[in-house]
Amino acid sequence: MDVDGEASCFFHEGKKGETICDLCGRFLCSLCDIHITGKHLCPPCLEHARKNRALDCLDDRRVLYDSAALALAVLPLIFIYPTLITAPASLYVAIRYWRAPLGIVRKRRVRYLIAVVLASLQILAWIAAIIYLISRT
Amino acid sequence: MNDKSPGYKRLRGRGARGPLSLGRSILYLGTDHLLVIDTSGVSETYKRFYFRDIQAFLIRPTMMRWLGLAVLAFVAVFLAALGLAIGGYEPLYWGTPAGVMALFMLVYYAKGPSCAVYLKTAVHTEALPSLNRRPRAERTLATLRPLIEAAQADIQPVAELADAVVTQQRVDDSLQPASKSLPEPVRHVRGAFHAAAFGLHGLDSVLTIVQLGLGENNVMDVGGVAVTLALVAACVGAIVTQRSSDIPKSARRLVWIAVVLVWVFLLAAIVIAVVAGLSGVDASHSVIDTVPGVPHLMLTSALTSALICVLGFIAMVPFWRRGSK
Repeated sequence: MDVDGEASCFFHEGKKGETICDLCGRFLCSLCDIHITGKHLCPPCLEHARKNRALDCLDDRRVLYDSAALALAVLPLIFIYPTLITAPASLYVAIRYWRAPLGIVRKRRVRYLIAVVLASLQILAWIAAIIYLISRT
Repeated sequence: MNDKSPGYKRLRGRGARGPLSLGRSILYLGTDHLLVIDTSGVSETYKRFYFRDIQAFLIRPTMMRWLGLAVLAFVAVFLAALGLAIGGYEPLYWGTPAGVMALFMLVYYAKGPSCAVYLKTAVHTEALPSLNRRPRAERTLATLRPLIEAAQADIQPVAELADAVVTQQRVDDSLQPASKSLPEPVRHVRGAFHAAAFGLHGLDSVLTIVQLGLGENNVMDVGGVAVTLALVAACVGAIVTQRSSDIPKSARRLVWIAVVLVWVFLLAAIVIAVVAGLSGVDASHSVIDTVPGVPHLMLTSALTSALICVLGFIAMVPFWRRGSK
């Protein structure tokens, strides 16, 4: 496909290709060229990148699993008994989502670590309490 | 192709998107954009405003500083009054939280006048809740201005526009010019808070008169405190909602008068409690019977509350009739 002997846009046959997509290599016209964070992308690659959260600048929402794990490990301590359920839940969230992206400005997994330590301690405390009760009876 | 996430520098301040919002909003400075992070529970939403797109920052003075101070002061005075009224070791017990509240008030006041800041682009205007104090907003805008100017250097007309608007919106010494430059649209409100405030004044008046007639008892005391607290909450709600609203001016003034009167009577009650405490009045007897001046104060309070209630409803009834048509 060409326009007057020149490469045409992959998406618009009648338009002259002006650049190539940095990801898929397709020729793009000025309409299809999306210039973002120093890269030239075509609309499908941009959509793909957005879905896969490959570009931070396209991220508009994140779930903070580290905060969730920490909240599960700390807040139920007020009432003690819910920790029987929430401590394993906190541990599960921390391990399951350890590799999930953190908040966009958060760089360290300190909350995960605190959650794991606290949840583990709570589980150990429950195990000790159960063993003690069983041994008494 | 995961690109390196840009380093962000946090800008001072945090704020909520609404008075009852539990989430918080924080500003971060990126290499070529401003990032607004709204955190709510365990999720974050991000909004990026590229320096090239920012046309203006709009600053509007708000009354949140005074409202916050009024609420803190009320709690402090209430705790202090409770301690003084109970006597014995209790003043120390209640005085400590009152002192802490007073300290909070001092810090709250020292942060400077409150304001609302909006960021304007070609397509929309975004509120920046973290810049809710004027000195902080000034510092942040001073940081952002050279970055925006540098980003817009090659687009002359827009740069001039941004410069002009930012200059116009720069924080002035007085609040008045900024409020004049940004007239707010008039909102229609139902006036529920006003109805509650005026109605509670009426109830307070009735309770006071009954208390005068029957003498003190625990049920009436608790009822009186509950009505006063509800009254303060209703007045605060009325003050918040009546701003830029179509509530009649007379009703607005009455709300302010009501707030001032609540304070005056509260202070008078504290003075009486202190005087009674110093003069060794027996706490086991009714204050109404033993302390001179209390019946007069209560009667004045009841009559004033009744007057505010009547005048308030006279001011509001035509407004509600207009609204229902």
